[in-house]
Amino acid sequence: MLDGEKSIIEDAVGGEASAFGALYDHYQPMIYRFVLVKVGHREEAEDLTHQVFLSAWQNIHGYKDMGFPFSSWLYKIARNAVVDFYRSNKEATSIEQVNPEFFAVPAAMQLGMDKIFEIDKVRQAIKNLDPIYQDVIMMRFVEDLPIREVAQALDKSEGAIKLIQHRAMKKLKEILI
Amino acid sequence: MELEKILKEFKNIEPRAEFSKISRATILATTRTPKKTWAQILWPSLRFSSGALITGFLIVIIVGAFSTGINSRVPLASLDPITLKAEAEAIDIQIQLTALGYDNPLQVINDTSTPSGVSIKKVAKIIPTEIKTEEGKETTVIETEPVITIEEALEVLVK
Repeated sequence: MLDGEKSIIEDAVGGEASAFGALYDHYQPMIYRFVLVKVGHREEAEDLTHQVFLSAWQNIHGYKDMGFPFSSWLYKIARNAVVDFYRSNKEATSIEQVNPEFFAVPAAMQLGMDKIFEIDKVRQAIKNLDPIYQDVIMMRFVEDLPIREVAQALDKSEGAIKLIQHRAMKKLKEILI
Repeated sequence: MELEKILKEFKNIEPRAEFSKISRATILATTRTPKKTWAQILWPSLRFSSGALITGFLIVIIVGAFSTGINSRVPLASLDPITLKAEAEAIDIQIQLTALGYDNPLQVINDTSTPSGVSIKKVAKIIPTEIKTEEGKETTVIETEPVITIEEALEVLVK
């Protein structure tokens, strides 16, 4: 969560572009990762991430603070964008077509090639999971979001998220073995 | 392989800096759509429903006028003006004028004529007598005795 996020959000809702810029800087990498794991292509993930934040900026006047994190609102927009993407592009992306360049260059240099291939293998396995399993794994294990926040973003109860998380990890391990 | 540890490494996935810069600048340069008021939200549906209502009303008017036009051309025997005139002339109307005078015996004027020639020609004294009609019913009629003309009767009334 961003420092002083509440007042930043209020300013952004009031139409202050710099405030929304701060939110963009903080949340954009998270939304990009979320979208990339689902669509597989860097260019498409970039396009969708752009659409998500553009939509957020266009509709932020309708945002109401209901006591939930701002990220849950962005995740909802991102999920809808991905659903629309697959609806309009019915030909599913093949795993083999995945561009390995989706790591930022400095990060790739730090990780080393072995690590990158290991991560890519897991990413491909995640892509074979149900969308809801993908969402929970990304939010819980990659972004470290609390269960309450994930439940809000996915419109499910906290108990349901715990159950989905357990099943998702079990399924992921089965695919990777 | 520790799955959860690998998943944490996903945080190293980042968008290209160039893309982020361009995307951010493009989004913030976009003018925001103004917040819609209730009137703006409801107006499209109101516009449609009022249009449909007016169209329906006009259809009813047009169909009504058309059907009236058709009906007016249908020849009805009962509405034939010649027949109606003949029937009207054949009716035996009895017009009874009462209270021509209060203090003289000229109180009732009986006149029997056709509608086309209604005129009062006689002033009568009241001499009620009972006669039998063709059906055998007794009817009280007033026999008229030609005494004076209507002008004379009016002069009497004026005095």
